[in-house]
Amino acid sequence: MLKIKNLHVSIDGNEILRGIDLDLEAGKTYAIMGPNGSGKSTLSYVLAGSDKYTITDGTVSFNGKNLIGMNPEERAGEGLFLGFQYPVEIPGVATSTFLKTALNAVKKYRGEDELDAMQFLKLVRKKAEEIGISDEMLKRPVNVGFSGGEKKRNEVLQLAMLEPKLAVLDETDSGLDIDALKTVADGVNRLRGPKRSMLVITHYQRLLNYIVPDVIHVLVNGKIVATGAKDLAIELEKSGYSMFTDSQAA
Amino acid sequence: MVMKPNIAHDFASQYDEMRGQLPGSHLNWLQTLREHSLNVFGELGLPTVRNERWRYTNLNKIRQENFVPASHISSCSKITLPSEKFTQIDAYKIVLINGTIIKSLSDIDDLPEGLKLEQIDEIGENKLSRLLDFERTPMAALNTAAFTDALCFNIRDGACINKPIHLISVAETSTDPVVFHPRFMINAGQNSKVTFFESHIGAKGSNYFSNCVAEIELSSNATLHHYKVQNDHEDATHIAASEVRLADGSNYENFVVTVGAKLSRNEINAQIIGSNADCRLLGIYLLNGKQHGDHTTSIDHAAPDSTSHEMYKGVLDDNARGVFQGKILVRKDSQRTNGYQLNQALLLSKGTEVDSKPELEIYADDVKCSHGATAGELDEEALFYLRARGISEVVARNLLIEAFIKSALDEISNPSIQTTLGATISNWLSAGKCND
Ligand SMILES: Nc1ncnc2c1ncn2[C@@H]1O[C@H](COP(=O)(O)OP(=O)(O)OP(=O)(O)O)[C@@H](O)[C@H]1O
Ligand SMILES: [Mg+2]
Repeated sequence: MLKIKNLHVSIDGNEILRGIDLDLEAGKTYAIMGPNGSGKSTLSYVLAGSDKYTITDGTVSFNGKNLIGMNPEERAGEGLFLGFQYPVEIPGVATSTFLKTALNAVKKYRGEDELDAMQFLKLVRKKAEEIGISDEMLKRPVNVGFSGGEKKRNEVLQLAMLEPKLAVLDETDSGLDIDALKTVADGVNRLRGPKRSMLVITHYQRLLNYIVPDVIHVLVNGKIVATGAKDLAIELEKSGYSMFTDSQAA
Repeated sequence: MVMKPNIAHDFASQYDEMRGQLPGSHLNWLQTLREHSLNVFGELGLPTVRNERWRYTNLNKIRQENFVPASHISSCSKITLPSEKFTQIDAYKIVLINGTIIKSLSDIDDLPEGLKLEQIDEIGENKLSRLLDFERTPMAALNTAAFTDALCFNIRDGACINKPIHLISVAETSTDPVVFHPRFMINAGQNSKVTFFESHIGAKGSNYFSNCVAEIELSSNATLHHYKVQNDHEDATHIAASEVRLADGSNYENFVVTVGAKLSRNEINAQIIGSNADCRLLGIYLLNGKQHGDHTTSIDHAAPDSTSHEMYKGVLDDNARGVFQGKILVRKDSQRTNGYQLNQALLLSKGTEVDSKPELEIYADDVKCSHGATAGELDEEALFYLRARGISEVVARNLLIEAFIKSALDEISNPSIQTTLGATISNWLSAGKCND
């Protein structure tokens, strides 16, 4: 599904990612954990196509295609989705307008039929209800005045609407209360399937109880320093990242 | 001393020579008025940037052009109006071509009960130019000396006109640069209600100069919604001045959409002479290429307990330049005045420029007045967010541009006009206006 080889990324001359290798297979769920500032969001932004970063070395292929050559909208069309750590507020653009424009753009890219207003409304109502987003919120401008948790739910709604092949979820769990965490995890789990991969970035083992990953990677200082099964998260919860950061310093 | 040759186009002597041939030359009062206007214009000349009110708008483009008055061109009978949405609104249509009314295209004979349209022969003495101050608006002096048709829309007391009146000013020119002077008045009687829609369109030919003047008077408790779309040819010049007077309890709402013309100015001078009146001056300007668009307003609060509300939003691309000058005068006895003014510009490229000059002159002490001006770029984070959801860059930019102007559009009181203008603007944006 996604193959990252020796990826080096810098911003304003500072190298943030320092040689990442990752191979994500279809149907599997992965987690990335790592201390603040280790480069997790940088990786997710680079995958989504942000032009703020410079890729100095390495390759990224997505279902056999060179991802780096594509602009953000093409990546979304190809089936990549990024759940933002900090969803952006867009005053003046109604959430439902945004969702409809995005869904039809992606459908068009994929050669599928676009939805008319009625079909869209039916679909969005159903999905919004599953995720606990009210009709009234759909009318409001994108993320404007949404609480932290509501913003994250809105990310999951977009995920459910756009049905990507690979979802990168950057701290979709942070800021959620216990019930919301469960709703959001259910929303994500509903989408899991043999053709879809998930890459979940989180600080908390708790989320991984709900979205159980096949593989966990630990990212420290721009490099993957450990890879393991779900027990690794429990270990990290106890001991923290000091063993990795210490060995880095040595 | 060597005198520099005066290369400026001499409108004054041009119209002096043809005074006898202009419509209404048999009316003594009009002859006198035209003569006076021409004298004043001859003295004042075209405004220069030394004139404070014209500081940011340079008229050299028309100064150096050899304009032919449109009345010298035989009027054209066969014309198809552009099919853009805003020209199709259900309304009483009045069509001007090069400033001259075209009866065959106008609904003159189907006007409703409460609306009376007077033309130059019926208007009568002492009505035309009553609201104008030539010192302040020299171009209105030129218009008065030179207009071909003057239309006076009288709304009877208490009348509620069921459909908008739609004045469509079309330019139809050939190779010569042409000048014409659309001229109209609206007198909204007591307790009357009317919507007036003005469209300015270039149908054929590009190099022309449309010099418009409107005189608008609202009697007690009248409501006038005045909308305007200026979509003149992208090489044309459009200079317009509207003088508005509001009596007590009256409501005037003006909304202008400026997209056309290489050089344009929309000047509105409103005088509030009664209490509990509400004056709303609103607009959107979308400019690209080398377009220059000037919106100059002045609101004179000459009575207490009235409100004024201004909101202009501009979107500038390429090397376009936007100008906003807004003056609010609150006289000494105009207590409890409430005034609000906002000009916001969205700059889509490095070559753009916006000049904002608010001017508050307040002599009363119990007054609420605020103003603001901002200029900013598109939100890159928002753009990336939209694109990351599969929305193409062009569509994403247009969504953000529409979001930016939405708050101004939302101010329009008439819902169907709001929808029409919103759709028109969306079409322009997706057709590449302010987006490459
Ligand atoms: N413009 C910049 N110049 C220099 N360093 C930057 C710049 N932008 C981001 N960084 C740095 O890049 C590093 C990686 O940031 P990133 O957001 O990817 O971390 P993260 O792993 O997602 O952290 P968190 O867990 O707090 O979300 C941080 O140290 C940050 O300060
Ligand atoms: Mg992060």
